[in-house]
Amino acid sequence: MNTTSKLLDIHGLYKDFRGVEVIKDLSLSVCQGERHAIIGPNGAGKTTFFNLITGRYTPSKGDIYFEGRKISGMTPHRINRMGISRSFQITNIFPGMTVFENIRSAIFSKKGIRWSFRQRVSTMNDVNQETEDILKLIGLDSQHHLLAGSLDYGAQRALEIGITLATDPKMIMLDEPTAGMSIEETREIVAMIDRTTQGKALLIIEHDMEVVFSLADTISVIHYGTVLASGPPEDIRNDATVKEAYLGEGSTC
Amino acid sequence: MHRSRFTWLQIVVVILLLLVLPKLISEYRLNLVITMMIYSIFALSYNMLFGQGGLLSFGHAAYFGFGAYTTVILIKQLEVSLPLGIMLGGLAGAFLGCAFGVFVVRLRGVAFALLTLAFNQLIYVTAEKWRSVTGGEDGIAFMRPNLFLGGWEIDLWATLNWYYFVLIVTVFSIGCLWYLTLTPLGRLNLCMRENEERARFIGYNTYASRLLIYTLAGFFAGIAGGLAASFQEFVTTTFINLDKATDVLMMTFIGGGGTFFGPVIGACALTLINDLLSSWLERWAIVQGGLFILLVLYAPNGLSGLYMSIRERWDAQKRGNTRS
Repeated sequence: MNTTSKLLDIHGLYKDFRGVEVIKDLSLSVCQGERHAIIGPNGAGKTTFFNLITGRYTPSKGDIYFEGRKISGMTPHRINRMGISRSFQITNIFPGMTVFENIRSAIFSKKGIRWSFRQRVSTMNDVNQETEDILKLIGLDSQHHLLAGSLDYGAQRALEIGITLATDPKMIMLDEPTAGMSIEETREIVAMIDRTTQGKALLIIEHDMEVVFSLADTISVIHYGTVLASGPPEDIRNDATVKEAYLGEGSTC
Repeated sequence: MHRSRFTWLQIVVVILLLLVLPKLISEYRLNLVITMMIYSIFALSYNMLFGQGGLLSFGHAAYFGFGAYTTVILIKQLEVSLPLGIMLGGLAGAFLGCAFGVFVVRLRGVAFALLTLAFNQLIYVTAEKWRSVTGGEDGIAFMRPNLFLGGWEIDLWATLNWYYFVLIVTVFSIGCLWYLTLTPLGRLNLCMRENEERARFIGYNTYASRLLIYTLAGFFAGIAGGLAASFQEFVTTTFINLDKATDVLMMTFIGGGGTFFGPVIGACALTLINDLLSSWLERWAIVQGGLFILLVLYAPNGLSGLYMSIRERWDAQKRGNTRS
């Protein structure tokens, strides 16, 4: 693996909150097109790790490089414009706006149409067409006129991922996309994620092992804020330290 | 934001009605309509922050007043024309909006409300104490200059001409504000109200965007201030005091911030109520306050929200009747 194919490169990352070290000496890299799952017990620091990459928090120590450029310390919107888009563990959408507008706001941003007042939104055919395409992709095209807040939980999670996809990122980061979903819904959303993220780098936090093993080609186990093990799914499955820390010695959850 | 139920046809009818209005009502009533139009611009500029942006400001009178003083001083001292004076009043409002906005748009909720209030008081005290420029509590009186248009002199002292002048500025301003809600920037304002954090994580610089919106709101408040001062041919600290700041909040709230034209309804209603009650009752403010409390408690989306919910219930009932 040469360094040029590395999309995301993190070395010796630290983050402490008032003396509590949540992330310590964490190193991890993601290559072009890699599908990388992050697993680990609750409170291991997975979401904090996501927040550090996407600019919600700044690291206490260590740097994050994306395409060879240092992104640690940048604001969230700058990081997004560089090609990193994330979803949230707790659904984070625009509840009082229509499903269509939720997606369209991301399309505008992707196209760099942020402050324009030269044209009315209803006359921007290319933007509206791209919005329709994303809605079809996530299977919400029949509900495009509904308020996002009125959708059922599964549809809101799909919309959350749709907003994340719509900025056309180079790396997609999904924070527990299947949290709180039924088996049926989970199957649907995993198929959707699989379909929509083809060819892109994917970084996904997930608790459901079935989802992890079906989506990922690389798995990293985070435990007490550091990477315990990292490698292809088979290796992780057989790794003794991982079994002890997370998988619980044979018993499945 | 609910989709506006106004169609082009309705807008044309309203504008036609406003054009022939001087034939239909007395001069006293016409002056009342002028007041309503000016406050409509003011309330709509406020609603960019309140209804569309989700920011509760207690200091929007600062931009109204700053625009008013600028217009008056420029017309009196430099003898600029009235349209230019009002335009520069708007730009002054935008300038102040940008200058204060740098600080206030970082904040949300209570902190935002208090800082806007503090800035409003800062401008108020400056206007009160800097007598050599602002005339202090006495204010500045001036004459509304006539309008020169391509060799024609239009006497703006005549109520009829002045009415049409205000009408043109109002239609243009409201048109701009409405158009803005249909553009990407206007939609972004709604996004930031709904979920500012999500907007940041899809690539919007929400701080700069909020600042731009705040500046634009200052511009239209300044235009309204310039118009109001030109109307009264007088500017004083009442243009900038706390009453003015809460008046615009009341208008917007009473009309309803959830629809585009809600604040216009609020501006008209409050102007009308003040006029009616002040001629009947000495303590009309008590009634106004009571009305406000009732609306806050029972119609938190204002009169336009009340209308929408009644209409929805009515529609549902009709559908129910046809089904059975």
